[in-house]
Amino acid sequence: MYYLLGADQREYGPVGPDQLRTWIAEGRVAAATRVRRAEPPTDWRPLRDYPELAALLPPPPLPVVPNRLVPAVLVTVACCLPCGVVALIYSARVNRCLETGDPEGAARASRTAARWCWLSLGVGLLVKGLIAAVWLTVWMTSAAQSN
Amino acid sequence: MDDVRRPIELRVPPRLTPAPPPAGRWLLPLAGIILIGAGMFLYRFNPAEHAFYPVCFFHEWTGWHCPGCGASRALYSLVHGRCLAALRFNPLFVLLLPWLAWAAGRRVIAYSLGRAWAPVRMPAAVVTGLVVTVLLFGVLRNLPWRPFIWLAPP
Repeated sequence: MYYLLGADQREYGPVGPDQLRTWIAEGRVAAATRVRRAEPPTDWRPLRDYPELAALLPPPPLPVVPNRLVPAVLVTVACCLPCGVVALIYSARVNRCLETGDPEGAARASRTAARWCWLSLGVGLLVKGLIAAVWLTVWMTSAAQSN
Repeated sequence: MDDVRRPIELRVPPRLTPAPPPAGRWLLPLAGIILIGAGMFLYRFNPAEHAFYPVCFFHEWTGWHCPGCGASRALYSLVHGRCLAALRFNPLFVLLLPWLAWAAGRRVIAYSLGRAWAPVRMPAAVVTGLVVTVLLFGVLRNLPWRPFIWLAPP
């Protein structure tokens, strides 16, 4: 049996592993929660330091490496073609690296692809904004002249 | 120890952090408004006839069709229910549209509900195939011969 310190710094227990499992699932207890045994040694330690309790914790989420394919396709289609093509090539590299067991290379390629997507979006908006501004000026000038 | 004299009733520790409201909860209604607004705008104004649509400066400067050329005219045809005309303007974009919409929609919904978003893990061959398809499409639609000219907007 175990005692634990809740988020309110009050002591709870004694509880067994089954109750702890429920409380972990409900978000009341986590890896860093201070826990002590009912029997000696009764010093307070974080829950993760008890091997039999650490097994109750949910597995840590796998590292997520997005391949940025959707934004890369979108910016290629809608914004700045050359930057979008670079983003596309890097996003293809993400999954290739993941499959060859190179998560660091995949994360690097993912970041590079994201950077090129943003660059493409920026260049696209800038150029299209400039073109729209020129078009608006021309239109307003011609409208003013026709009046 | 006074363990045995504790009350039978089990006291329950409070939750560690009360669930915060999802940070992106405005994203879904915002995306909906933008989507409906853009759809109505597209329905009303034909990109082929109005100059205020963003032009493809790649096409403007080189005269070649980029992989996205014809996409806004294809969308105009789609909101008018003319799927064949949409395919004629940009077949690749129209075919990819359901997937693009699904992937982008998944992410927006996850953010606005405060759920963890994880990308769908695609086999590398599929990703490479898609990338090659987009690039190849951009090249092929500029060839001046018969099956390829159907890939370029009329």
